[in-house]
Amino acid sequence: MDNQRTSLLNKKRAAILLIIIFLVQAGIVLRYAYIQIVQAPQLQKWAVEQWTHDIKIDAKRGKILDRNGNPLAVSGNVERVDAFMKDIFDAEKDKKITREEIAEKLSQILGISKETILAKLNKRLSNGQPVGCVTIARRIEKEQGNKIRELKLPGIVVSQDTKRYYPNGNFLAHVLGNTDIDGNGRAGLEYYYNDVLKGVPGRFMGETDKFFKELPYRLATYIPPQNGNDIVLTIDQYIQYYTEKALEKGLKEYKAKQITAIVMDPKTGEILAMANKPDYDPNNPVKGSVEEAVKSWKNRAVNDSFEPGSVLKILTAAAAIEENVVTDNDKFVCNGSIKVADRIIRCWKRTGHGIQNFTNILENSCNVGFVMLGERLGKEKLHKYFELFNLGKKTGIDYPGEAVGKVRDINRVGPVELATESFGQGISVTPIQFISILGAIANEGKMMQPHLVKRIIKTDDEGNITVVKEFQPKLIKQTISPQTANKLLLMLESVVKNGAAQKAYIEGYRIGGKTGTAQKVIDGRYAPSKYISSFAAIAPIDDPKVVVFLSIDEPDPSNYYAGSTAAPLTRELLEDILRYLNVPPKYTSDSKPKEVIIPEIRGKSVDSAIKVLKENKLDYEIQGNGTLIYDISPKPGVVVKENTKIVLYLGNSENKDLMVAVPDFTGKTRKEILEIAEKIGIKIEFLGDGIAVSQDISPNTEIKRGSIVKVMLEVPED
Amino acid sequence: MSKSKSFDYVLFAVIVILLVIGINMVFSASMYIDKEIYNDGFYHLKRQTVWAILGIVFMFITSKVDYKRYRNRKLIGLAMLITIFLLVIVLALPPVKGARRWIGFGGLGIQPSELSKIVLVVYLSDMLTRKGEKVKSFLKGVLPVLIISGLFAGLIIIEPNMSTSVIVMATAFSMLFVAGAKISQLSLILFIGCIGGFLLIKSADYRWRRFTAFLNPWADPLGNGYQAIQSLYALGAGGLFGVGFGQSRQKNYYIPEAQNDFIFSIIGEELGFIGVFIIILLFSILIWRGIRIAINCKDKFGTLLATGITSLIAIQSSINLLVVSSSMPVTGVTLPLISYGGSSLLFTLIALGILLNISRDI
Repeated sequence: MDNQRTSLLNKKRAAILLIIIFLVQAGIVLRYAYIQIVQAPQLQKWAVEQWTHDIKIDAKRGKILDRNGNPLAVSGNVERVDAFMKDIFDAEKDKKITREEIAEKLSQILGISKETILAKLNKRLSNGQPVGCVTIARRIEKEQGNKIRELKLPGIVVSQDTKRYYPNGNFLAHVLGNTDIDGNGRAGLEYYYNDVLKGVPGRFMGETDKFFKELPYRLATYIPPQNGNDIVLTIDQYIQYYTEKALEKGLKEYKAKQITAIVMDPKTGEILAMANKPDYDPNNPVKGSVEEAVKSWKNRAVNDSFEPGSVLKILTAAAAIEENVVTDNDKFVCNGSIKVADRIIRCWKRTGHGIQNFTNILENSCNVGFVMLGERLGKEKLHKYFELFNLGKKTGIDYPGEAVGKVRDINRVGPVELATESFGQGISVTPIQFISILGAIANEGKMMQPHLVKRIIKTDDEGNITVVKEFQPKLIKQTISPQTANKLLLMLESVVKNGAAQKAYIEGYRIGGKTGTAQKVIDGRYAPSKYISSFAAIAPIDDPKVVVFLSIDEPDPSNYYAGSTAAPLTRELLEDILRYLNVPPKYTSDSKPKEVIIPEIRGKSVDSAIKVLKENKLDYEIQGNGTLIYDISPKPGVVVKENTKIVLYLGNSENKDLMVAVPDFTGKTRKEILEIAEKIGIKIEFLGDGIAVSQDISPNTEIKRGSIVKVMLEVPED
Repeated sequence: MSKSKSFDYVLFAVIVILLVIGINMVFSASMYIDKEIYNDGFYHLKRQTVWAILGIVFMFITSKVDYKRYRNRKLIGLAMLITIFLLVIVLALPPVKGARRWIGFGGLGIQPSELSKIVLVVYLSDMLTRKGEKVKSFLKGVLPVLIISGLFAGLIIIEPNMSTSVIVMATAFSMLFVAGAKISQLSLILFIGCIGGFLLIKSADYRWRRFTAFLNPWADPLGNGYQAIQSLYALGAGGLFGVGFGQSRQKNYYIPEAQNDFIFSIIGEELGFIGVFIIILLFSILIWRGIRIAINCKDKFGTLLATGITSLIAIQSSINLLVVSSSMPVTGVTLPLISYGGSSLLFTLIALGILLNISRDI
């Protein structure tokens, strides 16, 4: 072994080597400093651009179903076409195909011009480099997608895309809401439950068909999307259908600006139906300007508050019963007005309601009576119940943008304010808020959380369904006692049976209800001839299945009184709902038989007279001989029960001196009075506007046919 | 047998620090993708830690073995034959990722080219020591070195693995320089080497495209310029102070296999220029200690061995740092002690163990 010593030259050379290496390293440090300090801002910008340039693959959005599983919003099977440029460049390099040819072929299938596609394929980022991938077309039909797949074009990837379909068009539109072009919820439940419905989007980064292809310098990954969950609503498709049918009819018949209704199960707080008309088609939510469209998406049932007026008398009545400030025998005398502090407060009936008991003031919706009730309660106790019923607070329904009603601060309530609040003026609510109050009264004082979604479910690829979350009925609070609630229900039944809401009466069912006709407040003032007519109903009161609140915004001023608009419309809706829910009618002697006015049939032939009587459900008895009706008893205009026997006196000539009985016009509208008058052959002269409060010839007086009866009308503020 | 004089603790400390930084950065760079692919975010961390521990054990062993015992002609001859045999065998095996670099045993694999680097350094140290003053002769001194290292480099380049063959040649060159070869001859070799290198690059289309890509990566941003651009994005995004440990975004598929050759991009992104500077400084200290050992070693074989080992690390780390900063064409070279890679790490630590042993002799 020749052990050599290290020479001086070796040492010198090693030192030089170290210096050379250090110089190289110093150069490297400078290079990094240049990149990371000088070039950093520009590189960073490009890097961010790149990070945000992946293609997101939308997850399939979950369905929205009604409580029985009927689909209300579904995601369709459409596809998208993306181009992955790396593969296209490679194919071009290998002279397999050109971008031009690809654009040509795609153009034929997609119906997009070749130039448009080519422009997308030639797109560059702002730093001049071509984009990694570019979207060629979205929401194309499956057929088109398959055709493109068959072409096996390099870098052209067809994958699932989302499109929202609302199979029933306008149906339930305001509740469902709609989605934007990217499939994100934009309004309604689509927006509120967006996170549940949308799932987790997947990502394309590079080629999808080559999973982690083991080639250097290739970027390839596909993270698959996770589909969204389905939501099952509390809405019942059929009840919703009846509701929308009624509203559609009401909108036309009363020439209203808009009309709203909510149907709720008072025991669970589940909303069975919620609708507004006019509405829109969520399949095509934007027609014309966006602002107009957004307005049309507004769900008045939740997003709007207004003064409903007399329906709020229910609250004063509840407070009065619970606080024991009134007994059944108390008398309330209404002379048409009452003086509070230095102000005269008028009852809607100028002539006054006379002597009434507690139930009567609710039946008559007598403002004077309620002012007296309010005085007995005092503002502290009245406001205590406003608070108890959550006035001025949100209900917390699972729907976006809930509006909140207003209640005057108790410190700003003087005697006049106390008086007007007692009959429902100066308090605004949202329909959803009011129905939660109505629900509490129908449910022995228990206020339930109103909600629209019953459960969230997950459907996997094999179609197995698992429940992700179940929304159980939730008690918010006990408001009034069950005794008070039950007493109030009986009073509300009386309102329908004997009071202002008689047009809501359904034979065989015990319906409770209260009307409310309020002048609209516009810019802080009560606007002339603009009204909101509302009706609140509980059916049936012996075992409440549903509570309904229906509100007509700006009905035709010639017929706007809630008792003749909202009440009969609600009755039609309730008839459908009760039949659908299989609630059997109970006919008792207590049932109110229908009444009819005897029509004019004198002078008609016997056959045609009998036909008219049958149409009016009247029985008859013939006396004498002849071909014409000479006279009848009782006289036309008299109100009798159905199936009453009418005596027909026959003769051969016409009776020249015919007498008719004057009917009771009280509470009837101008239109109704004119119909009756024509039927029995008298003339009417109207004084004033609104509904009849008095007439110059008292009912059942016999007068000559063709005589004039003067009827005084008054504008009901109820 | 060297009497237990203590080894260079500064060198040892720098090696351990770089190893620890490396393991952490491998974890940071691979965790995200590992979770996706292996469903185990620690996949590369675990393997790197095992290799590092194994490497440290081997480093301790070689630091105990007197380096002079390698000057056994039979031993060196056998090692040379085995290495050449393996370098030939690997060419017959199916390629992995387009190159025939690995000989696998089960889940593990080694790269014969990694082995060949150490064996060649030992062989050349012995040869140059024996040649003594003959190194000044071109035919008797320089040419034999060029032929032997050229054989190695040639076998490696047809794998293909151009970068390792460049490292091999450059290491041989620096050993010739320290051994005392004439500057005139070395200059001529360097000149011819550059011409040859240029022709070599020109000879294969993919090499030429990669070479030109380095000059303007944005000409082919999704192809040959891709890695350079992504690496620059990472460094730029890191800026002066970095985005923070574990916060790199470029490691998420943009830089493929970020734990390997481009780990320094992720270091630049997460730790910023500050981190970059500290790590380069650590390499400078390591190289300084290595050359210091070479200079202070009284035995010429020891001097040349220390020079060779230090050059291997200096050249390889420099090439890696230049590639990452897009200062030279992209070539697949790991960053010693930092990048993920079992056999590369193992052989690096074995070589450093030998260097530590030489440090006992100064």
